[in-house]
This record gives sequence, structure tokens and C-alpha cells, in this order.
Amino acid sequence: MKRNLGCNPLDHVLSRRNFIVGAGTAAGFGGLLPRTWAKDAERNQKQILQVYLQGGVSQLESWDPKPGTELGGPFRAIPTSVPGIHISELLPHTAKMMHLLSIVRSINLKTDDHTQGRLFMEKGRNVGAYPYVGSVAAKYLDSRDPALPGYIHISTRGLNDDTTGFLEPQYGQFKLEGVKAPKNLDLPKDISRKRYLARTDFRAQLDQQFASRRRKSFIDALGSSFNQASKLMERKGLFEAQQDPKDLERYGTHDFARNCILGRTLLERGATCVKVTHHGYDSHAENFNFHLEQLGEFDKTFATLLGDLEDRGMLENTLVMIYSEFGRTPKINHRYGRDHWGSAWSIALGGCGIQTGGVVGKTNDKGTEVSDREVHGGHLFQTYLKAIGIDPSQNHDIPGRVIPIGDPAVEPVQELLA
Amino acid sequence: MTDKDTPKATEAVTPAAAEPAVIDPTKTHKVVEYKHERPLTTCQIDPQGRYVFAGAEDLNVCRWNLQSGKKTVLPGHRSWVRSIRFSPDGEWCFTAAWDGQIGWWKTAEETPQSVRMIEAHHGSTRWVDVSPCGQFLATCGNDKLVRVWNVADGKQVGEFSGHQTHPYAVNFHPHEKQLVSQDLMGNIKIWDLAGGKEVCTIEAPIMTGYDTKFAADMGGARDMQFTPDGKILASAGITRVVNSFAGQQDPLILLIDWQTRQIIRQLRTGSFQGIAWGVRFHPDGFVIGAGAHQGGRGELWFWHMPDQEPAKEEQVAKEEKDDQKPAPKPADSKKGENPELDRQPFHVTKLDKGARSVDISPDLSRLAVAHTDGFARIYQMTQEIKTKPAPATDPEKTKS
Repeated sequence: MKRNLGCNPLDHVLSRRNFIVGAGTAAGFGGLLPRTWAKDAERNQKQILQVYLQGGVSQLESWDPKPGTELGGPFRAIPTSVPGIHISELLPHTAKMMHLLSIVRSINLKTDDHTQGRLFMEKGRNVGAYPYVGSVAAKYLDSRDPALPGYIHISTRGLNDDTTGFLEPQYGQFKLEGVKAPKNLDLPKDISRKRYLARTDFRAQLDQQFASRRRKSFIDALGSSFNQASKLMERKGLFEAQQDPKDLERYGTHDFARNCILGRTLLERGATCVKVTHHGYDSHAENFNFHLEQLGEFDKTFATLLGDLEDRGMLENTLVMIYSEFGRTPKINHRYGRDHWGSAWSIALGGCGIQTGGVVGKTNDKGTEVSDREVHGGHLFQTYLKAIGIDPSQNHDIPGRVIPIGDPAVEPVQELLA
Repeated sequence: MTDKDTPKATEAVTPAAAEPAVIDPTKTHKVVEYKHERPLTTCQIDPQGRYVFAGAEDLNVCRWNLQSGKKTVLPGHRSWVRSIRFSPDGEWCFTAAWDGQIGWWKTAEETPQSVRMIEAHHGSTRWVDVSPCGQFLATCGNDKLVRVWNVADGKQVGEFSGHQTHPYAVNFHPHEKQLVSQDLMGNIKIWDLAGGKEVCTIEAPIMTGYDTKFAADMGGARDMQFTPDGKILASAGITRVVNSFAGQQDPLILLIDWQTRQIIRQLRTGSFQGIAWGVRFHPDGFVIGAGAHQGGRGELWFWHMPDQEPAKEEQVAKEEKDDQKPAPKPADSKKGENPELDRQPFHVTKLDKGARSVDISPDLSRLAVAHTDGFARIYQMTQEIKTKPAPATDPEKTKS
């Protein structure tokens, strides 16, 4: 088995683009929205909820347990709501929701590198400046005048990725640092609302003149950013609301729980793709204690979120992805750790367009190799898009360029699709 | 016994030396090693000194006869065994495992079978300890509970709740009717066995750390031990978390005065980065620690007991001479660090592989260490006898 022990420090710095796009965004969309809201006509819009377990969750401690085997680790497997499917005992709440999910146990990315693994899982290609699935969804599923940024990433730390590739910047991920209200939500004290509107009008006029001599897409992107910021500033009241204590009681009070409550609210408000990152899975040491703690946070919170989406009728239109950049080595090192492992690992999918309650692929008895139905990031990328109604065999809507949305050399995982 | 299991002796190995040798921890050296197929998790020598028992990264408990080297595998748990203890007379062995169960075994049976297995906790059982009278067991587990069991019938006779995070170890006080347990956040709780309530909590934030990079806590006791008179409690674990996901933190053993509930020593390990997995008190006036370095090697550490410490000037000179003094790190007062309480070991024995547990033989001359490479190694704390290594004792091999 090859191992990769290298971890690069994560970039905590917001990119300039993200700052511009999100100049007026915030967190804390508290307050329970009426459940009937889910029945509104707009709810036909397809959406994505990404739960990203950053660092590489261990497949053996989550979706593909091998209890009692040489490399299986100390945890047991438990039955789920789907007869015959067992997952790790560290996910008891998720196990009860297994009928809403399917597991892919046969991913081989052929890389053990954090960045390469993340890019392959997000872009469906292992090389090239292609857009993330969230940006693709934002471009092709957003309404013409969305009330929220199309691709919102809630995290307690920053991963400074360019998610757009060659797409327009307004489809890039907009990052929220947890539920903390961002800066610049209010107008500067010396600028009245009247003056602000006048300035906005004046800027629009200048843009119009400027645009007449330049590429339209560039000006559109800039205009969209200002427009988006203005809309968010107008929704300041929403951002300042406290999260419902009843939600906190059900989800938990830790950061990930608060982020998931916010994620649910953003989806309810029409965000096309919401990504919630849960950190702390890169367990080169003390893998078992750390997975016990981290999945202990993830499990109840995620299961509650999934239940809420189901109760509110949102799963019909929302693809749910629980994924990492890779899994962890079957081999347990001398620090009780598991290292990077992109060769045979798992994710779970559910919701919109997914055939749930199943398992695709398998690994051998020790979990060291994929033994059936090997897939990689390209297959999965096409599956995500198919599930939300985007045909990955089509080309991107980029004037003058022919760029296939998905890698033409691969197909979606058909058996996962409803 | 297969050839693979044959113990490798590095000097003449006898159950007890013909003439009692002078115990000198600075002479600590390996005398024999016993091989298991999987890395070991813990080990314990029975009070009669006949066997060393070990848990491993599999479903078995291993027993090696310290005289013959014979290995016996005890199956029965459904997960890794984390903790092993014996009844005071050594007739019974008790095991605690990640499957939540605790097991009862007859120590010296030819092929021990588990006499009793009970579900002690929901989730893993982290620790088992035996009361000084031998009538009760104390356990702690991932349900955040501390429980007390009747040894005779396996029935639960007490339960203590109050830990907000997972308790990692629990110990009976040798004389008072009290228990101590320590959790992930370093909190040491003292429980009154008679009243069934918490007596107090000793906060030891120095033994936990929040890894800001990975957004997770690490800490807690990896071993706990009272002095026989019950006046000092030792807890082994970690401190100064840098990147705990890569094993970058310092080992630490705390000594706590039982009467005042105050931390009286912070036993450090020079520049060694890793975890202190074991601690024992030696009646000759020193503390023994065992640990695993993040890079894979191990060390045995020996510190003076507080009342045996040399004068400060003498200590400083020794540390400088031995190059044990680590680069000074700023004391984190929020973590309860007190540089005045820091002590470096007066001796360090280097080990090829990481140590996950240490125990002392009843004759007080030997140490058993559970290693990360699957070996249980026996170390002698006396002058090494320079003899030709003993031949393998495998009878099958002898025949051929």
C-alpha cells in the first residue's frame, strides 16, 4: 500500500473574488420557515446539499466497516434501516436514515493527495481548470435573478479554491465563515441609503458605457457581484436573526450543527448549492479517537438535517452528497492513525435523482482494493449532474468554445440514478 | 507453540535471579521479547509474576508464560482489548474492550476461556480496575459513565455520571472508598463509592488541547496509577498540542497530591514528541513512564519521586550534561502550566519501537512493555549479565 503523509496547511484567506462577490453576505438566517414553503412553485428548482468531511473520512469507520478483520479497527458494524446494509457503529443516527441514502464503496481516485483528491471529486477531472459541481449547478440551475449566491460554502475555515474554472465569477463559491455575520453588511455611517442608491445608479451608468467597449461577460460578472451584494444587504434582517433554540436542541450546539441549520435555511431560501464542511478527519494519529469525536458530531446533526429535508419535501429536489477528498488507509500506523487513501473508499448520496437504499461496488475483505464496480471522480461528477437534471454529455455554454460538461470518456453510475 | 512465537532471549532468562540484584533504572535493558502478529495495545504482569497478558489490535488477549515463554491466545472479545487488570491474588484476569464488554478469565488455566462477558458500556469500555479488596471492578466507557461491578456475580452495583466528554481511565484509591476517573478534557473526577456521588473535580487543562487546524480536542489519561500509600496519583497522557492529527504533541505525566488535590509535578520528556502511554511508581523512589514517539520509536523514562529529588542545582547540571533540557517553550498559564513543577527524567532508556503500556513485575526488577510492533518486551532494571544469548526453547525445534 502506498501512503501519503504530506499535508499542506490550509489556506484561511478569502480570495479577492470571494470578498467582492460576498461583500454583503451573512449568516444566521434564523427562524423556522413555514413547511408549506417547500411546496411553492419555485421548489421545483433542483438543488444540492454537499456535506464535505474535510481531510478524508475513514471508510472503515463510516460507510464500509470491516469489523473483526486484520485492518478493520476496533469499531463494530451496525444494521441500518435498509436490511442487509451495515455501517459503522459510529453512525447510529445516520443508520436509521439509510433508506434515504445509497453508498458507493468502490471509489479509486488513484491519488492520495488532498488537493488532487478534492479537485477530482469536485470537478470530475483529475487535471485541468474545470468548474466545481457547485459552480456548474449555480450556472445552469440558478434563476436569472437569484436572491442568494448560487453556490454557498459554510465552513469554519477557508479552502481557497477557484471553483469556477472558465465559468463566470458569479458562479464561484461564496464562503461563509460559520454562522458568524460577515463584515460590511451595513452601509458606512456617512453614507445614507439615498446616497447609496444614487451611487449605485451612477455606477450602473458607468458600467453601461464601459461595457459598450468590452467583453460582455466580464461586465456582467461584475454587475452580478454588485447586484448580489445589494440583495444580501437588503436581507440584513434575516441574517441577524438568532437560530431557533428548538433547532439547536435537535441539531446540537457545536459549529457543525449551527452550520447545518444555516445550510438548511439557505436551501429553503433558494440557494442552488450549499456546501457545509466538517473539519477534522485527517487522522494520521489517533484515528479512532478522532473519528469517535468527529463522527459523533456529524452523525446526529446530519441525520437531523436529512430528516428535516425529507419532512419538508425538499429531498425530491435536493441532491445530498456526503463525501471527502479520499478515504484512509486500511493499514493502521504506529500512532493508531490511518493515512491518506484514495484507492478504495466510499461516499454516500441521497435525495434528488438518486436510487436510495442501495450499495454500489465493494472492496475486498481487508478493504485494500476495489473488488467490484470501480468508479472515480469522473463517474461520480456525471452522476451528480444527471441526478439534478444537467446532462453532462452536453457542452458548457461558453461562447466560442466547445467544452464538454463532463469527461466524455466516462459515464454516470447508472445504477445510482433513479 | 510455533517457531514464530518462540521468545527471543538476549541474556539468560530466569523467573527470579538467584541473588537479588541491585535495582538501578539506569541499567535498564531488554532481556526477552514475545511476538504477536498484531500491534499490542496494553500489557499487565499478573501479581504472582507468572504471566504477562497483553491486548492487541485484534480480537485476542495474549498470555505469555514468563518462565517458559509459551504463548496462549485467549479469544472471546469482539474488538480490541484496551485495558487489563488482575485480582489482588492474581487468580483472575479482567479485560476491557472497545466492544463495550468486560471479560473474566482464570489467569492460570491451561487454555483460559472467558468465564463471564458483560456489556459494561454502550460503546467502548475504555478501562477496568480492580478494587484493593478484589470484590469490585470499576469501568468507564464511551457512554461517559463510570460503573462499578460486583466481581462475584458480574452485577452492576454503582454508576457515576458527570463527565461531559469520554472518560479514558478509572482507578480505585488504594485505601479510601473513592474512585478517580479522567476524561478527554483532562478533568479528573473523584467519586465517593459509599455516597454514590461526585466529591470534586480536579481540572487539568494541561492534559488536553484543541487542535485549531483540525478543529478537534485531544487529551485525557492514557494510564493512571496511585502510589501504594494513596498519597499521590499519577496520570499519563499528552500536553502542548501542536498538530495532534500527525501526533505532534508532548507526552506528560502529572503527579497530583491526593490530600490537597493539587498538581505537584509535571513530568516532561525532553524533546520527545508523542504520547505517554504508561506510568508506574517504583517503591525505590522513582516514577516510570513509557511512551511512543510520533516517528515510531519509544522511550522509558525514569523520574525521581518528589521526596527523592536531588537539589535543584544538581538536577540542572545533570539535565545539561545529559542534554535532556528541551528548548524552552513559553508556559501557557491558561492551560495550567507551571514551569516550577516541570521535571525532566534522570534517565531515559531508548526503545526501538513505541511503548503503549508498562507494568512492573512483582519482584520489582522487571518491566513489561507492550510495543507497537506486536512484541511484548521484558526489560530488566539491574546490571546486564553479559552471557551468550540463550538458545531458542521451542521443543519442536529442539527435536529436529
